[in-house]
Amino acid sequence: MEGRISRRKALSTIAKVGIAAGIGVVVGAVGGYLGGRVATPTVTKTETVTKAAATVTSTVTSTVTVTSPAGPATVTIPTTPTVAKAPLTLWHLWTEGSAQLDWLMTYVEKFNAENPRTYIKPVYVENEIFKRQIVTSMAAGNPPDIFHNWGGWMYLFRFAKEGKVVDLTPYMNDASPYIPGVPWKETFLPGRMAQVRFTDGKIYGVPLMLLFESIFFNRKLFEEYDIPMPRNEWTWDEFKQIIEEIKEKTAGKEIYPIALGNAVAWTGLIYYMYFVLRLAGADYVEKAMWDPSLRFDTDEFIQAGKLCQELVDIGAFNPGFNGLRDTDAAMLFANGQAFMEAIGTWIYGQALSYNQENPKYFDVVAWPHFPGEVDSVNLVGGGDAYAVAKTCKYPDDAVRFLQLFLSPESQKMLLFHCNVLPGIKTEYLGLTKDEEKQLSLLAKHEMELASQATYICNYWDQGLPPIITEAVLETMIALFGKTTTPEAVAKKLEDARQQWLKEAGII
Amino acid sequence: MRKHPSFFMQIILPFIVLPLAFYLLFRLGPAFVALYTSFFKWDGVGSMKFIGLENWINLIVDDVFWKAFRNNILLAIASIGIEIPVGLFLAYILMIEPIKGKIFFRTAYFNPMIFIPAAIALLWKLIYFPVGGPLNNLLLQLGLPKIDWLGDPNINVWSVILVVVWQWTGWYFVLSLAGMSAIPLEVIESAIIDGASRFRLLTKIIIPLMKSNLFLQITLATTGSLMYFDLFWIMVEGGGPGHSAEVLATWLYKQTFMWSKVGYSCAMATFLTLITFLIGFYWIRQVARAS
Repeated sequence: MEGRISRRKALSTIAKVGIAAGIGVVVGAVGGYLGGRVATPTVTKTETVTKAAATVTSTVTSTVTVTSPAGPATVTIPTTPTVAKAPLTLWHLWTEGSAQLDWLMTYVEKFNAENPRTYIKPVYVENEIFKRQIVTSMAAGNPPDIFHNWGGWMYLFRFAKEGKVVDLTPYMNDASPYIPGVPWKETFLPGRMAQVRFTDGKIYGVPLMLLFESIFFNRKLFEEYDIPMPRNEWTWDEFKQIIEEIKEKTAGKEIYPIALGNAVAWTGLIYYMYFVLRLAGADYVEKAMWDPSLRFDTDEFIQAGKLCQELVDIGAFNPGFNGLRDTDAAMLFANGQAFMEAIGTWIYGQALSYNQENPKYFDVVAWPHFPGEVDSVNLVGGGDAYAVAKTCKYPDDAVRFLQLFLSPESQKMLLFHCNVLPGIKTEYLGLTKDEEKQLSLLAKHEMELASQATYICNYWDQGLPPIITEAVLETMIALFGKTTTPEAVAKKLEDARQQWLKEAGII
Repeated sequence: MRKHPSFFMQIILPFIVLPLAFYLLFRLGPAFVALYTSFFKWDGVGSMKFIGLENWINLIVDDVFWKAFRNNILLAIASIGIEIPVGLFLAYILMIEPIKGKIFFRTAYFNPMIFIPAAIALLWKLIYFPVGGPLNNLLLQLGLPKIDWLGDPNINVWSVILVVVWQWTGWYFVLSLAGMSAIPLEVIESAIIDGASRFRLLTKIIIPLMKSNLFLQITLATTGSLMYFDLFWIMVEGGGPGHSAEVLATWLYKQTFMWSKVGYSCAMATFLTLITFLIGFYWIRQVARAS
């Protein structure tokens, strides 16, 4: 009998604990939800509490009762002068320990110290997670106040089209306090500005930097094997000749002409995009997205695919490139196992994490001239940008932070500390003679290439609508793996474009 | 006298109603939402547009979907055909043979299971590395040609399946070991005294006695294979040339989060759920019958 009762007691205790825990979780969740939703109105209240009590004590805890449609909820908020500031969440993609994060944190701290009303709260989001998280948070109506993007359709314009992003045009037409005398928009590189300006003419993003793609090479390897170095104004035939010479002189060694990691597909796309840009021209590429009279399956697009496969045929790349990532290719290039790599300007910083010595010898060169090209200077590139979500309660403050972040002083830190080209024009950077001397050969050559470009074509995997992006990335691995033909690739791209034009209501 | 709390309050509510409510809310609910969404065209941000069965028709004519499904079936066959028999065999040897250091072997076989898949994927990517990777160096020293393990569309799916088999065999080994230790020792002893060979002992005594255990293993292997994601995602991110190493879960992920075809991927998810449910249901019934 004793046993029965105690077992029953135990069961009922477990049941009570279970129910209590369940109810606790639900109440906690509801409380947290309500607490989160009503935070803003209470902040103004607590500010007054703090001010009134400031003479007595520095920290006050106040209890505020808020009535919401779901019923009364009691929220206790500890109020100190720092908490009274409203947070502006900022999503960035820079990992702990990266130079870019140093740069961001320097200016976040500066802003937070100076600004009385709000403070920037940076949140790190991993690159791939960001791509889905930003979509779901936008759909759910709780995006971060300031969010990372790369301009273009995928992560900026399609949110702007739904009215979820603040139109920055009025701010852009005024001067930034850090560069007086000119409208803020005039201080940016025009090619980058175009990537954050939607077809409605409004500006939705602030480009932070310029990253572009070109051919990088290792001067030391070329010297070691006594092979003529790539130079600007070289031709497609010279390019192929250099590849042949490298193959001859490195026969039997695990050293290859060009590093490629195409499992991610956008690395192969660099070649395809440049070939298309050179053969069809910047104007065509820019318009083809929206103009039903143009096509993606023209001779130029087919020729671009053929050039890609030509490089595969002559053995320009390391073996197994379709199973390797961009990071694997960067490792090969950094370790001196490849003479060249067609990749973005971030390669220098990335390569340093694999090898401290070799990246010092990195240099950059323009793409070779192709037979029948119509464009020879424009670039494929882009880079990080920030935008402000419509849900942000203090857009003025968010913009003020962005203006500080785009100030000449901040952009110089980007150039010298992070080795990344600034998003504003060099003339507004105000480089001193000494600073100019400090620039590395690589940075100088990068700036030279950037200064010649009048148009910067955004990466197709970020700038175009998802339906075309999918087709582009889907076809690149097959193109380089030679399981499809250049004609089939061009057709697939055109089919996707037609579908997009239909969906967008253009045709 | 104080009234005792009722049976409902003590048992039904905490142990049946609450878990059921959670199950309905977080498992079955989303499944029905997915079914509902599968009739719409939706990019995850804009407004939803009703398109009837279009997503389902697209699913049936999608080559990649069937290719991915085929790869899942291959994985299931490899799991049932290799992982379970090998696990069973290893467990059998460890049980009947007087081997020293049984604990060491038990730990060693189970070891791959305790690593996170991401670490295993990176480790094996290094082993398969096409430029100077250890496996290719070994082939070279044996005078064999190098193989592009993860880039060649004809073999990359097998390269990944090999790693999955390597990782999961230990799991089925442990399940078999547990099943075998439930068999009464007297039965085995008397079979040995009667002069049964090792093979007969295994096929006539052990396997029939752990039938329900094996059915359970098959259930876990099939449903697990259909939903498998990790190694395929990290080792052959793009699915390889022409989606040669795509599986349903990676294709689903790409459709949802990379290409924002939420409606379409909901149709795919519903299909996957149905298939997994039917197969799971069939095998669970076999388990119930066997026991």
